[in-house]
Order: sequence, then C-alpha cells, then structure tokens
Amino acid sequence: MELNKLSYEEAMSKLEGILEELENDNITLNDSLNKYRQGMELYNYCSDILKKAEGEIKIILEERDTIREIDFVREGEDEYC
Amino acid sequence: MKPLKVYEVNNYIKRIISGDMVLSNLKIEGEISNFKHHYSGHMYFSLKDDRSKIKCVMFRADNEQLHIKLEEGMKIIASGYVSVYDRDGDYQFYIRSIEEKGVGDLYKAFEELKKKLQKEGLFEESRKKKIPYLSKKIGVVTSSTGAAIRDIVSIIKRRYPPCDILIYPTLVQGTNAPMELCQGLKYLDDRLDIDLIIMGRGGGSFEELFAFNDEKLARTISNLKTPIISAVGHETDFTISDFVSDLRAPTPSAAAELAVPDISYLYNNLNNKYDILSNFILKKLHTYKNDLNMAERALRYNDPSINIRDKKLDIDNLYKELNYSVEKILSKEIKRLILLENRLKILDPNQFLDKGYGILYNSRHLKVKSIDELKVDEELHILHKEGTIKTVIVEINKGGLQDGTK
Repeated sequence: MELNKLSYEEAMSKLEGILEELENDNITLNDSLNKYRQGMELYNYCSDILKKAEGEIKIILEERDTIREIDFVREGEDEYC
Repeated sequence: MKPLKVYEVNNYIKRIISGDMVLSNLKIEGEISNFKHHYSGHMYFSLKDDRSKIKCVMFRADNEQLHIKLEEGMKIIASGYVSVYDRDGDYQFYIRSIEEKGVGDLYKAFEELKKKLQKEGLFEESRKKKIPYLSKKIGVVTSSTGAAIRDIVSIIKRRYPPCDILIYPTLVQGTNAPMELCQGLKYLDDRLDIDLIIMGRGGGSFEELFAFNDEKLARTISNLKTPIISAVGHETDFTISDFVSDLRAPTPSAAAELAVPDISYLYNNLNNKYDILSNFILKKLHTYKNDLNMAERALRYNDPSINIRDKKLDIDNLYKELNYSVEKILSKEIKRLILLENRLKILDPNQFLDKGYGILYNSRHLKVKSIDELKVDEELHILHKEGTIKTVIVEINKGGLQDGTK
C-alpha cells in the first residue's frame, strides 16, 4: 500500500474498509493481524496529515512581469503568521 | 423700442418655457456632478454627459421620497420639468423623481446572460466538481484589503490550521475587476499545488457586485480544472459567478467553512477509528488466547501417556483377575482331590486287612467275588495283614453268615 499517494479522505475510507473487514468473524488471526497493521499505518498517516505544522499564508506580488509570493500579514495579529 | 427690465425678460422666457409641451414634462439621463445637499434640505447639482450639462434642483419634499442615496458621479434618469429661476436668469431642471440609470439595464443584462449560460448548460449540476474533503493548499482570489480576505483566512486557520493559503489579490469592483479576477483564477488553476479556489468579495450594491456577472469571468470559471467556491456579497446576493461555480457560499466566511472541515471533528473521528481498531485487535487476541488455553487443556486431557497409564492399570487388573481365576480353579481341584483321596481311602483294601479281615483269591490269583465260582478241594489263597495263607476248601455252604453258624 503506497500511503503517501493517498488523500486524507482515501486513507480514511480505506481505514473504514479495514474496520469492516475485521468485523467479519471468518477472518483468520494472521489476516486480522495484517489488517490491524495496515489500519495502524493508515491511522498514523492520517494523524500525521492533521499534525502537519501550521500552514503558510502567502500573497502573490506581481512586479515588472515577475510573480513572487510574500508572507501575508493579517491585520491585528503578529507581524508574521 | 422700449427697453425691457431684466426681470421682465426672464419672466417672459419663463412663460415661454413653461408653456412648452416637451420641457414641462421630461426625463433626462446623465451623471451627477457638483452635488450639494443644502442645509435647507434641497439638493443642487448638475447632470452631465460627455458633451454638455444642465443645472438641477430637487426640493426637500421630493428628495425625501428617494430610495437611493445620490452621489457624485452616479448615473441617473431624472423626471421633472425645465423652468427658469427668475433671480439669476438660469434655466434649471426641477427634478421630481429619480431612477438609478443603468440598474435596470444591469438587471436586464444579468438576466439575459443568466438565461444564455443556462441554455448552454454552464450551470448544470453534472459540470460541478466535487470540493476536496481536505485541501492542502487553497487559493483565494479577492481584494487584499477588506473584511472578506480577513474572514476567509482566519476561519480557514481556525478550522484547519495545516492548510496553506495563497492569495491572489485583485480588484473586486469596477470595469477592470473581471479581467483581474480571470487572471487570478487562471494563475491559480495553472499551478499544480492548489486544491481549491475561493473567489469572492464582501457585500455591496448590485452595481458593486456586477464584476461577478461578467460573461468572460463566467466562462473562465467554467473552464477551471480546480474546484471553486464562489462567495459574493451576502446571503441574498446572487451573481453569475455563483451559478457557474462548483459551490456557492452565501458569504466569504461561509466559503471558508465549506472549504475545510473542523480539525477537532477530524481528530475525534480518527481517534474513534483508532479505538475501534485497537479494541478489536485486543479482543481478537484475547479470544485467540482463550481458545489456545482451551486447546491446551484439551490436549493435556487427551495426553497419550495418560492413556498408557490407564492401559497399564487395565493390564494389572487383568493379571489380578487371571491370578484369581487360576487360584479359584486350583483350590477347587485341590478340594476335589482331597475328596477323591478320601474316597480312595475308604476303598483301600488295607483298611480291611488292618481290621483283621482277609481277602480270598482263587488258584489263578483272582479275587473271589462269588461263592458260586468255588468248588470243594479247590485251592484258595488268603491274603492277611501279616502274610498269605494257602488253604483247601473243605465245605461250601451257601447262605448268610447266620445260616453258616446254624
């Protein structure tokens, strides 16, 4: 399973799928341990996405045919955010 | 010719003008300039177009009825009459009522464009792209000043802090606004890192929002590869951009709410899955452990060594039984033997000899069984305890012992 290509939503629905499969009584111990391992990987992947550091806020600045991004300063807040 | 007084001339002109069919009731279209709202309540300004201008007055009683606020530069259509102000000799347009020029036209243009694009299918539900569940980077096309961008940024940051935001600042009203909006949209759409675009502005008059009713802008929006949320003005304001966008938000704040989910909700949901997953595997392992324990007990119960021990016991028992039976048979035989021995003892001839009896044998050494086989003068042998006696029969008397003695 290549995790880093999945979107959060896809990872979530895979995780839900695994939970559903685990609820099947016919699953073998080996399979259920594999599924559990996959589920934990998906959980950690989703959790990492949410834990990503504060996203940046930039504003496009156009100057003489060049486009730059600079930090966007919000009014009434610290200089940089 | 007698010269006339100035006031007489002005009065004369006033009479002529007042009698004119056209000038006594007309509408004039133009742009307001030199607007003055006098403390008396009357309004003084000029109406102008690119070639000329005319002085206007609107008295308090009339301007109090207005539904719009007159401003410098506003294009209006005014109804009233032309007359002369005797004192200054100025002719003026006396305005009774005003309609905002263009609003009617703008509405018409809006409705026409809406119909046209609808016919082309640009508003079709099937064309609308799905708003990503969780955008990594959101592009915002709006004015870099004002409440809209502030609201959008702070709400996105509050709900989902990991999200990156890239702002493309543009004009949001006026004739250049549609072009700048299109540029912004295209720029963000061409970038590969933008998951979602929010385009919008805060509230304003119909005219101020009209940049978002531009046909080119509508077509640019409909050609975007990136999903877009449109948020123009307030709840009640609808623009062509709203119809053609993938999602319409009633306000810029609402657009931000629709753009990203609340991170605490995501965490709750995710942690819930984690709990289910770990509880499940713990339960599963517990069950398997129990099963294993039971299997172990069953195995131990069915241990072959127990079986062997049992079999040994069986063999021991059988051996005992066998011994017992043999002993029983032996003792029975012994009893029989003793019995036989006793019988034998009874039959032993010696016991008679011991008592002093003798046994008779004939000459051929056969035991004499009957008196009838004997003859007188026949030799007889008598076996006695102490030896044998050879004798000859003298007399034979058949009958009982008693008879013999008789």
